[in-house]
Amino acid sequence: MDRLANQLGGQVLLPPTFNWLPRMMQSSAWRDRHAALMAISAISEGCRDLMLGELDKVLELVIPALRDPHPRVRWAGCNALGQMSTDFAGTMQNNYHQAVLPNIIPVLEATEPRVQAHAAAALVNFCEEAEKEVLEPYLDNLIQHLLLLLQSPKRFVQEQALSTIATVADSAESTFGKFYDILMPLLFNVLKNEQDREYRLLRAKAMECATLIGTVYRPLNVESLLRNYSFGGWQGTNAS
Amino acid sequence: MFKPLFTNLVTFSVTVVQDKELGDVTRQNALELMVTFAEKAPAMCKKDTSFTSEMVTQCLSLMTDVGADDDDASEWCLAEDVRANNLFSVDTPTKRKHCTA
Repeated sequence: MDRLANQLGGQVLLPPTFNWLPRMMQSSAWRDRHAALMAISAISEGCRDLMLGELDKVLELVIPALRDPHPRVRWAGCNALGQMSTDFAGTMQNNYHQAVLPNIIPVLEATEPRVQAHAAAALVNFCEEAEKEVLEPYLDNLIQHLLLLLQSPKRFVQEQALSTIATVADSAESTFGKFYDILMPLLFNVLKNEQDREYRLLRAKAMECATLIGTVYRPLNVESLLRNYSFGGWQGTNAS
Repeated sequence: MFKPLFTNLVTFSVTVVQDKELGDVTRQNALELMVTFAEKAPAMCKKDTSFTSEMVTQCLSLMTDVGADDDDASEWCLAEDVRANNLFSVDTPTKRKHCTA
C-alpha cells in the first residue's frame, strides 16, 4: 500500500481506499479493523497532501480504535496515530492535540504491555514534533503515566518509557523543569541497579534521558554524577 | 510495450493473488509484479481503470491475513520482542524507537 501510495498518489489511491476503510472499521472481525488501521499507517506518507485536508475524517476512524476490545486493534490505532503524527507533523500537533493526547494517554494503562509500549512509541512521534506550548497542559498527566510505565515488569516497556520521557523533555524544554527532581533519582536508580548485560539497552536509554535532561537544566549534581559513572560499573556515589 | 496487454495482465495477476490454493510465494510474486508496474510505469497504471481499485482491494484483503490461530491475541501479547516487528525502525543509540510505516 505504501509503495502504491507513493507512486500513484492520493488522487488515485484515496477514493477506492476510503471506499473500503469505514466499512472495515465497522466490521465485527478484528482482522478487518486491524487491516484498515495498518492501511492508514501505510498510505499517510504517499497520500499526504490530500489526506491533510481530510484529517478530521481520518481521525474519526482512528481515535475510537484506541478503545477497541481487541488489543491488536488498539495497537494498530496507536501505530496509525504515531505514523500520522510524523507524516502530518505540525498540523496534528497544533490542530488536533485535543483529539489525540487525551485519547492516547489512557492507552498507557493498557493491560497488555505491547499495547502500552506502542502507545508510548506513538507519543514519541507526536511529541517530537510538538511545541512546548502544545504539550504543557498535558504534561502532568503524561509524565505521571510514563513514570508508571517505568515500573513495568517488562523491560521493553521500561525502555520505551525512557525513550518517550526523553522526547517529551526535549520538546517541553523549560516547562519540564518541575519533573526533574522526581525523574533524576529514578534514572540513576536504573543506572545503579541494573548491571547485567541484558540491561545494557535500558541503562543506555536511562543515560540518554538523564544526559538530555541534564543538558537542558545543567545542575551541578548531574555533572558530578556523570563524572563518577564509569563503564566498569556504578561507584555508588550519593546522588545529591 | 506492455500497454495493450496490461489490462489482461492485471486481471490475471488479481486472479492469482486471490487464489488461496496457490502458494504464498506465487501470490506475492503476482502482487510484486503489479506493484513494480506502479513503480516503473505509474502513468500507465493510473490510466487503467481497474488497476488501482483492484490493487487496493487485494492489498486490504491480504492485510487481513494476520494472527492466524491466535484469535484472542494471547500469543501475540506474550511475544516480547517488538523489535522483530518490521513496522518499527531499527533502534540505533541516537534514534528513539517510535512508529514507522
